[in-house]
Amino acid sequence: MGSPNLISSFEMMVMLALLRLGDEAYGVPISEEIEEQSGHDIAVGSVYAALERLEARGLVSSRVGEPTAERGGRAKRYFKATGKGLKEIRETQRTLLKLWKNLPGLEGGKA
Amino acid sequence: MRSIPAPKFATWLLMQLGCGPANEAVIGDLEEQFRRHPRTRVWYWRQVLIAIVGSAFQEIRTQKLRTLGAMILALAALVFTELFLAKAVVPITSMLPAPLWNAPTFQTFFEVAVTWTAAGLEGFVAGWVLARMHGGRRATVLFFAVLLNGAGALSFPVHEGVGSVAPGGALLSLPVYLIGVLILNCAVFIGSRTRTTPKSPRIGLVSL
Repeated sequence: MGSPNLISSFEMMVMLALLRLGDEAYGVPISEEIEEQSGHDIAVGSVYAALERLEARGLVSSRVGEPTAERGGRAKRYFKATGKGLKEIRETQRTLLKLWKNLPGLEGGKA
Repeated sequence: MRSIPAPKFATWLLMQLGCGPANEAVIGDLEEQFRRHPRTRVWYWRQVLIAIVGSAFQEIRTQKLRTLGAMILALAALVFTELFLAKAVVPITSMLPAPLWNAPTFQTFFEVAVTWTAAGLEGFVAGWVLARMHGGRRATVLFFAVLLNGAGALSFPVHEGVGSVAPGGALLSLPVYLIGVLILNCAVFIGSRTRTTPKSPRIGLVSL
């Protein structure tokens, strides 16, 4: 049996940030959203690397937006989770919740 | 929003070496963040380096065999060019008049000229092969340059001992060697640009 092509934790964060941002999801707000929620510094390059992997797997689609002066005349690239991507996230969440249950080492908030 | 522009050289470097299909968007995003927030130049450079290395790894990961094949062939082309040039230089030295050849200044000049010219030709041939074998993909060119420079750094002590082209010629000094490395890298890059990089077929822009 072949091993499933699982989403990494960072890819999962990127997918969730995409969902939170809706139609306005491009590199800057995605990395800022993850930075805000995780408290870690996030490189835009890493976000794009994850998005490209997700796009190659059909979990995310993209479109080129409008260029602005603020960006040196360069266009934004907006991303959106596809139906397949949403299904994958739900499945991953279900699996994680099942694995999370009844963990003696984590009961009572102890890590 | 501040009016200080992002470091131009870093942006140029990312434009030249960034490998991802969304490279333009990455540059735009970095510029936007740099202008909108109080980010330092160090932050910008760090982001640029992460983007270059990350996109190169990403591209190579998806095409391991083609990358490896292109790099091996380019390396072989470089070695063959070096061997060919080494054979071609010997008759030239014998054609030179003895008083001229015996002058130490001329020997040094000749050796430096040969070293730099050879570096340029070898680099261009290797880059040309990379362009034909793998469309001159930036990630492959970047990794090839890293490999070449790594090997060069390791072999410098050997060159220092036996690098003279002319009998009794001056040994290669570090600055001459480093300029040769720079010429080699530039030549690989120029050679790889003799064919335009095809767009990655695996990721297309999809209309939402």
